Amino acid sequence: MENKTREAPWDELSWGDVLLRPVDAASVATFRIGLGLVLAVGMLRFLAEGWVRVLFVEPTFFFKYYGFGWVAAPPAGAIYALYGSLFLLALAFAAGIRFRVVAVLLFLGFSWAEFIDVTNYLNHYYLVSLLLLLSTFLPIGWTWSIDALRRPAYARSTIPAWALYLLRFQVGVVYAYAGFAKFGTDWLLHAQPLGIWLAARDELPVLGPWFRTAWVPYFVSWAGFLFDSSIVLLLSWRRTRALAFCAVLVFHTGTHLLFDIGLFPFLMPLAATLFFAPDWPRRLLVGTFGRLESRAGPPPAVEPGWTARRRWLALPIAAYVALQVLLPLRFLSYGGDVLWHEQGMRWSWKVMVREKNGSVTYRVRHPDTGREWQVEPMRYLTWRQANEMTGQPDLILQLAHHVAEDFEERGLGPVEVRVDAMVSLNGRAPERLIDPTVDLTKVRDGVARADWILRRKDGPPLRVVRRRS
Amino acid sequence: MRQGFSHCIGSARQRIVRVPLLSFLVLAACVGAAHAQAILGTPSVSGDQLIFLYDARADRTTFLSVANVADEPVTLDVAFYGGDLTAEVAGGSLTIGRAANAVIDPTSFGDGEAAGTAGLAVVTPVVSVDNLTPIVPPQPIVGGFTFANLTLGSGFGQNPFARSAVSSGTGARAAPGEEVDGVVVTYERFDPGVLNIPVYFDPASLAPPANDGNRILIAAFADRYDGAFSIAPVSTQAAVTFFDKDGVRIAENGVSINGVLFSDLQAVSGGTAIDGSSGKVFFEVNAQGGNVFGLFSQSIGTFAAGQRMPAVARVPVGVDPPEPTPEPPPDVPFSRNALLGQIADELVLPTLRDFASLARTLADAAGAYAAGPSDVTRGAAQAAWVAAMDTFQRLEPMQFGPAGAASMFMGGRGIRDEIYSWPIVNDCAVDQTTVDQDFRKANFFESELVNVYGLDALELLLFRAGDGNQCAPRVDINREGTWDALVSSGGLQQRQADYALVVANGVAGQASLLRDAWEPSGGNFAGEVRNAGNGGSVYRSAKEALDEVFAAFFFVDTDLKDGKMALPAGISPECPGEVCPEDVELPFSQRSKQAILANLDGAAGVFSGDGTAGRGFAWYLEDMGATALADRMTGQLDAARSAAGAIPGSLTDALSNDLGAVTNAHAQIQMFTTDMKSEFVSVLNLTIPQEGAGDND
Repeated sequence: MENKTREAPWDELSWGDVLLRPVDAASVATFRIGLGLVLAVGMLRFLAEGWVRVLFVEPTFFFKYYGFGWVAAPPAGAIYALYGSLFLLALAFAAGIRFRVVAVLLFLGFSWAEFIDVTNYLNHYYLVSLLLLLSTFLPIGWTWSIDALRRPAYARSTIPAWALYLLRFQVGVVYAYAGFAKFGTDWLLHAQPLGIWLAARDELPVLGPWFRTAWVPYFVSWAGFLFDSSIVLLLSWRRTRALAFCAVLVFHTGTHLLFDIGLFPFLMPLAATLFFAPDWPRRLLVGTFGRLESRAGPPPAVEPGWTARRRWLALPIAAYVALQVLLPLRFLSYGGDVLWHEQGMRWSWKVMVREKNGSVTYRVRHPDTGREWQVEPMRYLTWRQANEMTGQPDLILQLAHHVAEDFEERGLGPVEVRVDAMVSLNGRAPERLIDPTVDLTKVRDGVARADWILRRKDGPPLRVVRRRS
Repeated sequence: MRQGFSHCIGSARQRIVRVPLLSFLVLAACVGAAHAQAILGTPSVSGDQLIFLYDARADRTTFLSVANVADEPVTLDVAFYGGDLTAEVAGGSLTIGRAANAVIDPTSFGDGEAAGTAGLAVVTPVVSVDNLTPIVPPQPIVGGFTFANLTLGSGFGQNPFARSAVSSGTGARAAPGEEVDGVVVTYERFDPGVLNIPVYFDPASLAPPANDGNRILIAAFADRYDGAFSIAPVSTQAAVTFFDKDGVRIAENGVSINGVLFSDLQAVSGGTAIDGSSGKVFFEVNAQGGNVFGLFSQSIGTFAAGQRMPAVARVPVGVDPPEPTPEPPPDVPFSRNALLGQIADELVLPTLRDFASLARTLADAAGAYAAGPSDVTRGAAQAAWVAAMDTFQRLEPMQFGPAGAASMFMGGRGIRDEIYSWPIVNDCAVDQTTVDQDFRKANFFESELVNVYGLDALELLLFRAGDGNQCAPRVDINREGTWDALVSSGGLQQRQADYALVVANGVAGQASLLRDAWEPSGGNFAGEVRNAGNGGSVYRSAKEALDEVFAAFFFVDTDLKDGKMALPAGISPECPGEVCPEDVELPFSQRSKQAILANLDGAAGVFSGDGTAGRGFAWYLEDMGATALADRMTGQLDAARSAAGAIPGSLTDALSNDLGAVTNAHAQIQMFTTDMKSEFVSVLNLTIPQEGAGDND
């Protein structure tokens, strides 16, 4: 249901016209329904696979996000209840039942769960949180929803275009920065870490044998880089859209088969449909089922142009957009290899670009007695947490502080805590990640460049040279 | 002192209910009550007490001579003890005048009761023939003895094993005439740590051992000061290491010593070929707070020679054996399934078969012990336990599949913990079970926790010396006196032997169960591993199977490096003191070091196929182009084995005598695990079990 203004020449439209013109709400409604269902499945997986227990019940220590130390982990019963509630909320989100309240609760509940422990951070969970945040104020709950059925007067078949553009922008940011993250020598010149990952997956039927060849990791690396970097443009251009969407399906099907990235391969093709003409679901349904009777009321009368109220409302949205553009670029201010020092790594869409493992041993010394102990992270962490922590300096620092506090509580402090953190990035020989001479109890986490994190030596990653053909 | 010390800390081994403060107080009380006792590595040739080996069996004869080099007479108590040292078989007193000497024939001394026996003769200066209180003689006495084989017509002589009476406070020789009461004045203690046969000649070139072609005699006994002086047998283990003339380590074995060991080179080598022009032997032996010394002789025709065994600081690492002619690599292209097949068929399954066989032997030995408890049957059971345990320790880094926990491993049945549950051990619970006889219940294994059975419980039941228990005074068996009642009834050894039999049969049953689970003719888990990823296997892919092999291999980091080494060495904060000898893995048998070495052997098997036809994870690394990493880690593992082997004596002794050797071995293992947790896991993209929780980006 395209508005007349859509046919008007673009150069005759003001920014206000472009952003405020009504567009069919069918595509965002479809996205809302899909997102809710994907999330509901995701919450069920957490409960069914026992991940709630592993991620939230078994740990005795939780890593806090910088500035979010106040986020507490609920007791075991409450976290199960939270995930049960999130499941129901996600269904309600899809169905559009008391949408605004549900969206707010779902956003807060989901984000709370994700903010409990940094080792649970995933880029696509972050994306879900952002999409839910946008859903709390975007007008996407009055189309094809229970709310629309119950209160027809509020039902809408169109939304202002800026709402659709904002969602497209959010999805575009993910792809663009994921492509930017791949613009590096490890990925493009050495095909790592894909070389390692594909070699370990050569049992996959049909494709697996190809992974044993030397050139396939390079091909896949470059294909991934080009895909991420260009897919937004290709989806945005009507003539390449269909082909681009096929590429989206192929790409995400591939990642689903190869890697345990959960709902991401389902979420992103769904998000890619936002780039289609806004009425694509309606046309699809009409084509399939014939004419559909709309119960939506007429499009609201739109007052043209930028009113003062709209200008004020646009400010936070503009700030959000700016934040999304700038936040992933902050790593540039730190210099060095962000995959190594990880300053500016989170919230930056650096998706699946590193294979990082290491051995971390804390050396705890009592300055008065000179007595020194070695403390393994597993003393405080689960296997999974310890594995996630080893490559992330700020987490190593957090645990160092916790170790010092623990020794103090046991009457063994105050102590100095240093660390032997030997880390391998993309198959390189292990190197020290943290300066072993620095007493980490004297270091405070922050956004400034951390001089206690050692720079990585220059050198290529592992070159996979398989002797079998 | 050490016996009292170890006795006291024994109770602190209950790791499930740890009471650090109580342990500290008990430890402090022990240390406070202890007194200094001078240690002799190699016995002297003159002293305030002389100890002889004698052999008065058929076709052999021994003459003992004692000389008084003082200008005052000295009265001597002479006591002959048979080989098990449990009782004096002959004895009497004699007085030797100024500058006089006496020759003693065991077959005619007293009423000749020592005829036909062999063992120790203890010559102790005493107050008078009517008062056998040991005293310090005017001058150290001297002597000699001869061992003769009447069949061969050969013999050799040797000075007795002598020691001084010293002041507990100063360690200096006590004044002549002072009473040797075991408190203020004590005899020095023979505690060599490592005994050495400096050179032996090719045993094949000597007379047969049955005809004394070579003889190894090692005595282990405790001192008893109770008015008169006496000795009692000590049961202990010795780790035997053979080196050839070029310093190459050629054989390793373990032997049990209960009183006096009468053995020979061929027997103590465990059947390994030790021929060659010459070689040397080391016995790492724990005196258990008592005394140990040794004698070695060899003869051919009428020529014979015999020497006491000197004490040496440690068993050397030796030189690497000459590189064998490299075998061509197996003509098998690498694949994960080929690697899994090697691990399953050439490493795990053969070791499981060995262990099941040894566990059955252990059960048989425990049966003999229960049928007739004696030091001999107990020693045999101990030796069987050592053999079974050494093999089981090699399996430890490969406890995936049925051995592993069901919650962690595909096909897991938790059989490992049924066989050996360390570090889940509770020595006090074993003693409680000894008293309440729950082990006689038909459903004992089903109704009890794993910490009262398995090889860990057997270690306590077979090796613990003395009549004490590991429970705190407030625990029922002590508070209600039921333990003391069992001891005073004289039924403790029989009860422990009965319990040991039940446990050993349980171990044998579980070992068979585990082996059968892997056997192609049984559960064929080896086939599941070999064919991982193919239809019918419990593993969806070969990578999944290798992930589980790797998860089990993590034992090297968490259990071996941290649990077995960092904790007792005081590296871990779990250890409240400077070191924690109470936390060694095998405190009663003192086999903790051997367990570490066996763990490393098993790890080498998994990593590089060491000792098997397989090539282990190193093969996979090479296939991935990470040959340098494979070589580096293989070298690290070899260095760790050498460092662990260089720990002198037992791990417990080394914690107090050479902590640096222990921390060095720990550091060497840590180098390996650092690579294992970083580059190794990256290159092979292995996954630890919990890593699978949640998604990735």
